[in-house]
Amino acid sequence: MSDQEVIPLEICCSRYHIEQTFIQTLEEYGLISIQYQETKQFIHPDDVPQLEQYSRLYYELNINVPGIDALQHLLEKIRKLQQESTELRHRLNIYE
Amino acid sequence: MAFTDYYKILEIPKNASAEDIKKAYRKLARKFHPDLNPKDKEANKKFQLINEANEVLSDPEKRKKYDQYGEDWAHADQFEKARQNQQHTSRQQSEDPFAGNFGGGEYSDFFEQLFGAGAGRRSTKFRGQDYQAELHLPLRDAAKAHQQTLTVNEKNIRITIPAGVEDAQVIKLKGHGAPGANGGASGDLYITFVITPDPVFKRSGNDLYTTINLELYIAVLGGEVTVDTLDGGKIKLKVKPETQNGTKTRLKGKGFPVYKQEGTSGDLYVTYNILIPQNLTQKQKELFSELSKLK
Repeated sequence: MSDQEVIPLEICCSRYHIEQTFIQTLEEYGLISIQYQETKQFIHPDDVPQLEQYSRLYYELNINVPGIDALQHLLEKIRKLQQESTELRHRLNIYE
Repeated sequence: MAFTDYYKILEIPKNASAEDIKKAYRKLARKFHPDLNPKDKEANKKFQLINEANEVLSDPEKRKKYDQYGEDWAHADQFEKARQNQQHTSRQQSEDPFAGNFGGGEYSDFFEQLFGAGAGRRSTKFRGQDYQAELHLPLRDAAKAHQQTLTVNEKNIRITIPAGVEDAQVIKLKGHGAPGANGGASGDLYITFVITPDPVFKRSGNDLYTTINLELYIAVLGGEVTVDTLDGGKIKLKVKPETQNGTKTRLKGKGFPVYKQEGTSGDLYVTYNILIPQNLTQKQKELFSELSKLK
C-alpha cells in the first residue's frame, strides 16, 4: 500500500481535533487499525467514517473507549436484527 | 408553526441552572444520538429537537430571548427585524463541547424564525449526514447485471447492480450523502434493495420455486411438459407415469444467479399441480366410471 492511500495519524488528529492516544486506545480495543510504516503511523481512508463516529461518541457524548467497544457490539446486533427483520418481512410477502 | 417548548424537550423546569441543562442534554443525547439509533427516523428527529433546545437554552443570550419571546413567537418577526437593524449579531459559541451540532445542522422553523436562519451554525467541521434510500427491483431485473441511474438530491448517480442482489441487501456509495458543514466531508448514501416478488417465481436464497399445471392424463400416463425459466428460456421436462400432485422436480443450475459469482446459479424447483378435467363428455364420464370399477 502506497503512502498516498493512507492518512498519517497526526493529520487525522489535527483535522478532527483528537489526541493520538485516543486513536491508539481504539486500536488496543480492536476498534480501528493503525498501519505502521517504519516509524510512522497511518489510518486507512476506509476507517475514517468509523473514526469520526467513535470521536463523536467519545468527545460529544463522553462515552469512554470500553463503552464504545460495548456499544459497537450492540450496534452490530441491532444492524443484524434490522436486516433479519427486513428479510423476514419481505419473505412473508412471498407467501402472502 | 407550533410553539416549541425547549424546557419540556429537555425535561427540565424553567428555572433550571446551566449545569441542569448540560446534564439533561447529555442524558437525552446519549439516548437519541443518531450514532446509537441507526435507521431510527423518530430518534433522529427527537435528537434534532434536543440539540436545538440545548443550542438555545445553553446560550444565556438565546435563552433570554427565548424566555422573553418564545411563548409569543408570532412577534418574533418584529423582534428579528429590530435585531437586524441594531446589527445585534452576537452569536456566541458555547464553550461546552457537548453543545455541538451533530452533523445535522437542521433547525425547526420555530428556531429559525426566532433566531434567524444560520443562527445555529458553528465553525467546527462536520461530516454530512448519511442518506438512506430504497431501490425497488423486480425479481427478474435482480437476476441480471445492469446499470441504473438514480437521482439523489437532483444529482444523477449511475450505478451497476450486479446480478443476484439479495432482498434487503445494502450497498454504500461513499460521499453521496449530505454535504458536510463548514468544509466537512460529505456523508455516504446507503441503498437498500427491495426485491419485489414475481408472480411466477418465488425466491429463497439462490433457489427459485415455481408451480406448473399438469394435465391429469400426463400425470397418470407420463409425458412431457415445458417449463419457463426466469431468463425467458424454456425447458422440456419428462414427467414420469403416475406422478402425484405436489411432486417437486429440481432443475440444477436453473435458479437465481449467485451474487458476484458469474456463471453460478442456484436451482429451480418445479412443483406439479395436477388439473382434474372439467366439463366431461358423456363418453369420458363412462370411461372414468369403468376405470373406477377396475380398482
